[in-house]
Amino acid sequence: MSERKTESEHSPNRKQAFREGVRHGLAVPSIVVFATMLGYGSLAHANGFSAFEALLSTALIWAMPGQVAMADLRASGADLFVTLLAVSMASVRFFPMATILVGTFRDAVKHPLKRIFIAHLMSASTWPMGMAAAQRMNRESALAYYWPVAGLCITMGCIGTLAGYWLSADMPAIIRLTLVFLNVVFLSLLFALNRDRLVILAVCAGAVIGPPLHSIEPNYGVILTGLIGGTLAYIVLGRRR
Amino acid sequence: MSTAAVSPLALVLLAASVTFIWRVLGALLASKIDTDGALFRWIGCVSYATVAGLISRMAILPTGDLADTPLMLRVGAVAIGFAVFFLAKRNLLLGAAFGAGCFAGGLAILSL
Repeated sequence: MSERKTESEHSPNRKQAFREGVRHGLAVPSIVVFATMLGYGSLAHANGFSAFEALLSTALIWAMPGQVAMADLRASGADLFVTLLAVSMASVRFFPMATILVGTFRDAVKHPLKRIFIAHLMSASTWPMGMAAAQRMNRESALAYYWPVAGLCITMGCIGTLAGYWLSADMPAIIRLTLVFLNVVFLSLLFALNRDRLVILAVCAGAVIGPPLHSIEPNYGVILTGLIGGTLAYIVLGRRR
Repeated sequence: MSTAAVSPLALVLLAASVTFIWRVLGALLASKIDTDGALFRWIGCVSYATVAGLISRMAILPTGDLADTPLMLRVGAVAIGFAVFFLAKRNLLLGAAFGAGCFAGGLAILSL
């Protein structure tokens, strides 16, 4: 979604991009991811998972809604098939997201396993950051930026899960709620970094129709939001390029 | 079969596999698709709208403990975060800190 000619003129080299990725990875996203997973850790604790299982679920699933669905449905005694379907449906968004992110980086990454690893480290925080980097740097530098950002986020997520597992029962409610809310603010602001008109339109369309669609159809609301909102944006601004 | 019938460890591994499928499918499609083409642009729109919808739902119709906090406080704090973000020349850290700070302040006042 960006022009290749303009981006390479003032693009940082790979070393600079890597350092910027470490800085950004250590700043807000790590705090936010840490805070989110603090909440998940306490949920996993309440629902009878061991600390190791909680940690493993963050490292291997790495998708907050799916993890919450897993912990929540197990506690509610749902059928195994229903639980797995819900977990999987909660993460269908990774299909288009991975297509776009890996597609953007594919000239810089040839090995198929490395490409899958890019997709595994992807989350609601790391995806917009990687995409934003690809808009302002060349592909190699953007990738050198993505690795530390994504690696630090998942590491902080794992630490946060364990911290939440052991600590959150003793935390005051205001702090716990604010940590969860920090996600909402941070993730909305990540989108405000974008300057591409087509992206801004798609984001606005999704943000407006997301909540009503969710109340009509809680199971498939997220997917419908993406399909309807994204297609609307595409029809309005995306066809002529 | 009830979810509680399998061990938590097995459940974690199963849940990880059904999530991983989508990431792998995306990575595979990414190798074949024309990244300058219309299909790629459409899928990009769908992904942005999906993630944006997910986040706006978290603000307006949250699940869990956040659901007990007032809607106006959540929306107001996000709006303040945005205002500070743009006033501070798109500074993420300041925007997020002010938004979360206002939310915490609001909660403290409400619980007095």
